[in-house]
Amino acid sequence: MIQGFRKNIVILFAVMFLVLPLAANDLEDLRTTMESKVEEILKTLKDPKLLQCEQDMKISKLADGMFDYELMAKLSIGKRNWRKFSASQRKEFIDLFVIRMKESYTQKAHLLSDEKVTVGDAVQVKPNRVYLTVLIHGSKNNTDIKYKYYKDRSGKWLIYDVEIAKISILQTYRAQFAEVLSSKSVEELLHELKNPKTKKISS
Amino acid sequence: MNRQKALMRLIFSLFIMLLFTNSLLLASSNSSAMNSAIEAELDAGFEDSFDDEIADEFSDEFANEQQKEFDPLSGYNRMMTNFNDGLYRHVVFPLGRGYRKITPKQFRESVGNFFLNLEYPVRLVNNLLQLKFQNSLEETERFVVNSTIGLAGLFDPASSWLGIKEHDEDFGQTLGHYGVGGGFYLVLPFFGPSNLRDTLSLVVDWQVDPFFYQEGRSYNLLPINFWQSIGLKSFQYFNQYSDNIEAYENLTKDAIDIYPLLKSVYEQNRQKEIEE
Repeated sequence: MIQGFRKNIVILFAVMFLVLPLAANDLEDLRTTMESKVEEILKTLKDPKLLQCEQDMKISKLADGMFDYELMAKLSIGKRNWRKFSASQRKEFIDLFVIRMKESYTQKAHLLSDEKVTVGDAVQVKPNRVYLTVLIHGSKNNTDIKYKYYKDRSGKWLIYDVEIAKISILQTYRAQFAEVLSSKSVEELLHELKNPKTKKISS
Repeated sequence: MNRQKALMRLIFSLFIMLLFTNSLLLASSNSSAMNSAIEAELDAGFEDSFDDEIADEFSDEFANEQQKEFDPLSGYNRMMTNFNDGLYRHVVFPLGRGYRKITPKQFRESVGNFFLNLEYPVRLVNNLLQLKFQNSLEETERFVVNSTIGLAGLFDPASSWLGIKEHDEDFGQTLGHYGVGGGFYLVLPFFGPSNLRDTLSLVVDWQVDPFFYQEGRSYNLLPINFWQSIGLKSFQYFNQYSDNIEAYENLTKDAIDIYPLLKSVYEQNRQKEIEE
């Protein structure tokens, strides 16, 4: 009886010591990785020797391996509409979407140049989901960027969505793609993505 | 006076209708429902099986997600979205840039603070209606501090010195708090995205908003008629827009279609505001 009880306790402790610190380390790792990435980005932006295109390339490289772009592309279309895509269209769409994501990521990174940035704690909302918030301290108000991670099959944490000031990037793309596909064909959507009608930014 | 009563009765009956049609309308227009659709797809582990033909058993689960949203005014809304976009880009933003050149930032902030401070009754009533007593108290503290030390609301020492933050609540959020759905999407001229619930709620908030002229009310501030009220509100918005030109431009720059984009942003924003 007592031995059985003791065994249970031992198992309990073993589980606690093995599993909990691992999970905690995971979270801390995500946080420190993000912190070093943010630091790198800020350093890149402040480097006077780099041209803007070189900065962009460096920043885009930093983001590689953090995002699951392919999953983001698929989620932005949604399961039902994804069926309308042929194999080659799927590949083409993912490529176009990745280019778009990287561009928008590097452009947004430039907004950080003169701001103070802090990385908050990683919060585990589910066993396979972690949210990590990055705060940009502006002059009047702060903007928070929430990175949403999921754990892939190989146990790696990857970002599948980003919320900027509580607006989910994926949701806005999802709404747009759903609207376009409700009246247009996949071919037409791909055409629009290939020829973006960028609105003029006046300065 | 009779006309006002009739108007209120109309609004009341529309709210009742809204309550009944709520569940129907909410089905697909809710952003948190959309979020959970994404979550569900992730949970189903479909990232691996996405390319395969998806098993029929999943089709029920995701059937809702891409049903056509209930958007009966989509024709009008789309037109008004484009009209507003053109108005902002070609009229409001150039004017806003000019305004920004001739006014210091502190002036524009003070204009914003002044309006915000006097809209205190709207926030108080709606915080109380949602039984948020702590927030109601803080709003009152803010009003007292900012109206006095803050020189009639031109400055915001309550948040900059005392760290008492604003608790923005309107009647649309109050209804949302009690589970009333947004109803269909509705784009207002100049003021932009809204929905049935939030637009009707404006009329309720006007009852306590000092910037809205009410016949027979003793505390009408500046406006002496409805159109002056609209003018004042437009100036308030213009003042606010002028410092958010770049934000709007950045948001819409890479849009594939600004109509669903702005709609999604509005719905997500309201959802978050209601949850707060």
